[in-house]
This record gives sequence, C-alpha cells and structure tokens, in this order.
Amino acid sequence: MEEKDVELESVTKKFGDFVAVDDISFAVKKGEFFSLLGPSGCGKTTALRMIAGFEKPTTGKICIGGEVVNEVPPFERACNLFFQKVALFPHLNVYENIAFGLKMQKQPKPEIDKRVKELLDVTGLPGFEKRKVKELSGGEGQRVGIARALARRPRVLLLDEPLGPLDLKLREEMMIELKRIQKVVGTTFIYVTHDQGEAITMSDEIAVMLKGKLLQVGSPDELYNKPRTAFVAEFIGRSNVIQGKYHDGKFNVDNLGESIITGLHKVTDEDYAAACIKPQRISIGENLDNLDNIFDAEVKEVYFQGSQVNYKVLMGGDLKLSIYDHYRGKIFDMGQKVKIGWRREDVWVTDG
Amino acid sequence: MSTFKKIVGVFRKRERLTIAWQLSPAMLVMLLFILIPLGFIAIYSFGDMVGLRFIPEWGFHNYVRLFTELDGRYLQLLLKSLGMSALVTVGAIVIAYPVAYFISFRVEKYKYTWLILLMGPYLVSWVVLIMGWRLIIGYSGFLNYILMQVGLLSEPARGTWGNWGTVVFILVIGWAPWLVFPLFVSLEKIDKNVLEAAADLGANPIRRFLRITLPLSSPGLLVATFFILLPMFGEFVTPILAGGTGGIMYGVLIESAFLGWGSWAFGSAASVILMIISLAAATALLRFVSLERLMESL
Repeated sequence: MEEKDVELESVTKKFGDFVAVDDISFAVKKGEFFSLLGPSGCGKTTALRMIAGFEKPTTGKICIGGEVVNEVPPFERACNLFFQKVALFPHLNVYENIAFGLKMQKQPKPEIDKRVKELLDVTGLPGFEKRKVKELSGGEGQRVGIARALARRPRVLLLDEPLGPLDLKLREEMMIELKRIQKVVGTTFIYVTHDQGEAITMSDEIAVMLKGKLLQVGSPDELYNKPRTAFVAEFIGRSNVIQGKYHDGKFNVDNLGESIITGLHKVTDEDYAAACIKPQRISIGENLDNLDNIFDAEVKEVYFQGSQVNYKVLMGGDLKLSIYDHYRGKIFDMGQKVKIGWRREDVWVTDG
Repeated sequence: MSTFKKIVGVFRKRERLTIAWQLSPAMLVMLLFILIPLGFIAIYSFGDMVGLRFIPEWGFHNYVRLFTELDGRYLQLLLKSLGMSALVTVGAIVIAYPVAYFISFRVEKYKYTWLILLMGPYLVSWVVLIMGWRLIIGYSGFLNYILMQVGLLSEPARGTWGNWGTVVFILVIGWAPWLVFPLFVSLEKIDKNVLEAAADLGANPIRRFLRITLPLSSPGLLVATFFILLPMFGEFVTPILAGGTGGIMYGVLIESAFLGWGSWAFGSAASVILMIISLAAATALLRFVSLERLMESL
C-alpha cells in the first residue's frame, strides 16, 4: 500500500449553524500534487485551514503522516501553508524571511545559510538574499513565499489560491514553475483553487467540492472524461449538461421527441439523470452522416475566436447547447437553421 | 541622450521650484509663529537684565550661571527631569500598548467606540484631572480616609502626594490613553496573515509577538514616544500642582525665571538648553526608525 501523507476521515466543520465542510473524507498520497477544487464558498479553504491547524474540525479526524493531529497546534504540524496573500514579513529581507522557520527550530547558522541558498536556487532566485521584500515583483514574492514555506522540509505544503493575485501571463508561468518545484523537492502539495485550468494543469489528483460536500476525487483525466455528477461535468469539462431520464442506452428529454442514443451507463436514479456532451464533440453542419444522434437546431450566438468558432444553438426540447467548431473557412450565421450531431460514445450519462 | 537628460533635469528643477513656491505660504506661517519666538529666546539668552529691564550686554553669562550656580543644582534638576520624563514615557507606553493591542487584535466590533471612550479623560481640563487625583490620593484624600476608617492606618500617610512619584504617576495615567492612538494605528496596519505565517513557521505566541508584532509596531512606538517624551521635558503644571518640593521639574525653573523672578535672559538660556536636548532626542529617535517608514505606517 502506498504511504498516505494526509488523511481526512468524515471531517465536518460548522461555524454556528453554517456547515462549511460537510462530512468529507479523502487521502493524499506521498509526493502527490493534490488539488481541492470548487467555486468560492465551497469549503475548500476551510478544509485546508483545518489541515494546517488554524481551524479545528467539529467532528471527524485529520491525520498527517499517519498520526491524528486534531489537537496539534499549527506550529507543531509537519505541514506549512503558503498564503493567498504571500504574507512575507515586511521588516525582514529575503534571507531572513526564508530562514525564519529554521531559526525557530534553532538550527545552526551554517545549516540555515546552506538551506536558504539551496531554496533560492530551486525557486530560481539565486543571489536574492539581501533583497528587501518591498523590492520584489509579484512573481518573485511568490517564489520567496514558496521557498519560505519549504524551508523546514514540511511533509506537506498547503497552498491557498497562491496564483490568485497574479495577472494571466505570470499565472501561467507560475503554474509551470510550481509543478517543476514540486517535482524537484518531492514534497506533497495540497493546492486549493477555484480555477479548473490550474487544477487540471498541475494536479495528480483533484477533489471537487461544492457547498461543503466532496463530489468526486480522481485524476484530471477521470474527472474530465468520467464525471460522476452534472456539476463536475460542467465545472471541469465545460460540458453541455442535459437533465432527463435514462434507461438502457436511451436518454429522454421532455418535448424533444426522439431519444438521445447513449452507451450503457450506471446512474443512481434513472429518473434524475444528466447527459453530458463536450462542446468540441458536437458536429455542426448542413449535412451530417454516420452520427448516432442528429437534430435540427438554430444558431443563436456566434463567437469567432480564430482557430475555433464557438456557437450557442437552440434545439428541440428548449435545449441550448454550446458547440466549439474548428474553423475551416466557414461560419454559420445567427438565425441559420443547421443540423447538429454527435456519436453515442460522446455522451456521458451520470447523476443529475 | 544627454540632451534629453538635461531637458528632463530642467523640468525636474522647475517642478521642485513649483513645489517650493506652493509650500511657501505654509512655510511662512510656520516661520512667523514658531521660529521667530524661538529665535528671540535664543537672542535673549545671550543678553542680561537689570532688575526687570533687558539690556543688550551679550555673553555666555546666563549659561555659566545655569551650570555653576547653587553647586550645579540646576543641572541636577535638569537631569532629574529628563529621568522623570523617560520614566513617564516608559510607564505610559507600558500601559497604553496592551490596551491598543487588545482593541486592535481582540475587539471585533465597535473598535472605534472603544477608541472614542479613551478620549473621555480629555473632556475635562488637565488641572481638574490633577485635582481629581488629589481628592483620591492626597493627604486628606479618599484613600487615606478609607484606610483610616478600616483601621489600617492610624494617621494619614504622607508619601502619596507632593513628591516626584506623584508627578510621574499622574503624568503616566494622564497620557496613557492618548498614546493608545498611534499604537493602535500601527498595530492595525499589521497584516494578520503575516502573524499566521509566523505561527505556521513554528513561532509560538511569545516569539510571534517579539519577532513580528513588536518590530512591526515600532513606528507607533516611536510616534508615541515623540508624543510624550518631548512635551515632558518642559512639563511644569503637574509638578507645580502635585509635586511639592520633591517633584519639581526643569519646566518649573523656566516658568519661574520668566514669571517669578522676571529674568527673561536666564529663562531664555534655560529654554535654549531644553530645545537642544529635545532636538538631540528627536534626532536620536529618528535613527531607530527612518522617517520614510514612519510616514508609510501612519
């Protein structure tokens, strides 16, 4: 069995009557890049703060390295937190910031010097020791924050939306950088984000949360291709989600007339199922052949994006679908009647 | 490139001139109302008096008197006053800091109501406040009365009023609420995430305070020190009203030189010495925290 660095067992956190985290359980393997993904207010940050020790679970158990840590204060836990607002110590320079945790452990000076230098090399900031915090750019500040959090060689590094304050270009750069640093140091990362792109790019495993509940844990590939709920399908794959009834390879929607042909799927309740179709899997055109499902539709919105054209179309049953079509020199106009279609393998049926 | 720089340089100079010009009315007012009286005092300190009349006989005689007369008692008085000022400063900050800390870190709602309550003592005049304390700790005050009533004392205690301790006590109590303000401001400025980061990196509460909170509140501490230390050097109301003979301060000397003996020249010399000390203290304080950081944090 693989070693588990962090385990949550039926953890619940209430603030008064408000249930921030509702009975969640998951395990993070050693050396893994694990993401907690969900919209704001879903409880992911609370979950992270409980692992860090800044909040106590109302019920349930949190284990780090196989030991229950519910009663262990943050400064004695084998994990460090990388803060949303980097929160570097403004009165200390880069060296002193990174060395802070090591000084708290009363490590000898030569050891500290060596470790700080090592970390500055890993994070791509060699020679930055004497810089003042004020003089750092956004990206540099982030790197120093990571170096500081890694200084004590924590078993787990917790990251709370670290890329939030950065602009798009820097964010993309830091995503790659974070993943690289994680590979180099081999520390387990638990990463909180509301951005599915960040989670998919960096993670080995993702846990999707909504309203305090854990919806699904799996690899990015699993979540993308086999979402277990309509929310996950929408959130991760930006799928078109259609609510309806499923029975034996057929999916029925009120007022659509024809059934949607699907493969065979497992759902909890056949009367409340959801069919998920990715926008890039739907074909659009005047003549479509060899597709299991073909419907008439009307183009409602058109967004030309260069290599790709995004359409919103309206089909029977009052269904509005997004379609991403490769641009091949032809764009359908608004109001134009078209045929749309997809293969049965392209429909994923799950709980609604 | 160099011509470009020159042009920019000219514009820069222009800008500076404009700023100076815009500042000048304010500067003039400050010159008129502060520097001129101070200048007069400086000039008078080198003159002499015949009776109550000033005569322009210039020299250092006033300073010589100040340092040598009465076996150097004036000098002793000066040193004692500086010591008392330092004591008041430390005492008032020690009382004010926990209050500011409590309001900033522990109070969640109505922070500003708490702060306004601290203005309470300043609604009445300073003299009334001192007299209020006299009613409590004076020779025939409430404290002595109670202690005698319960039989702990057979006659009123004398040590509570009319000595240097009384002066320091009243000044500490009187100034502490005022100092809460600058301390509160600099504590409020501290990003609470930074403290969590320190906790996360293994700093226990005491170390968090000593290594993060205290250094980050240093601008507030400095402003508080400015607020209280420099005015204390010249304090004369409290020592006159509550100090008796043992609690006399240097400010009283200046006051009586001007108003009691009518010796403007001697009083001016005593004032100049005080000004020099204040300037030196201010310079020394600014060494600890640069003006830039100070302004940033306020």
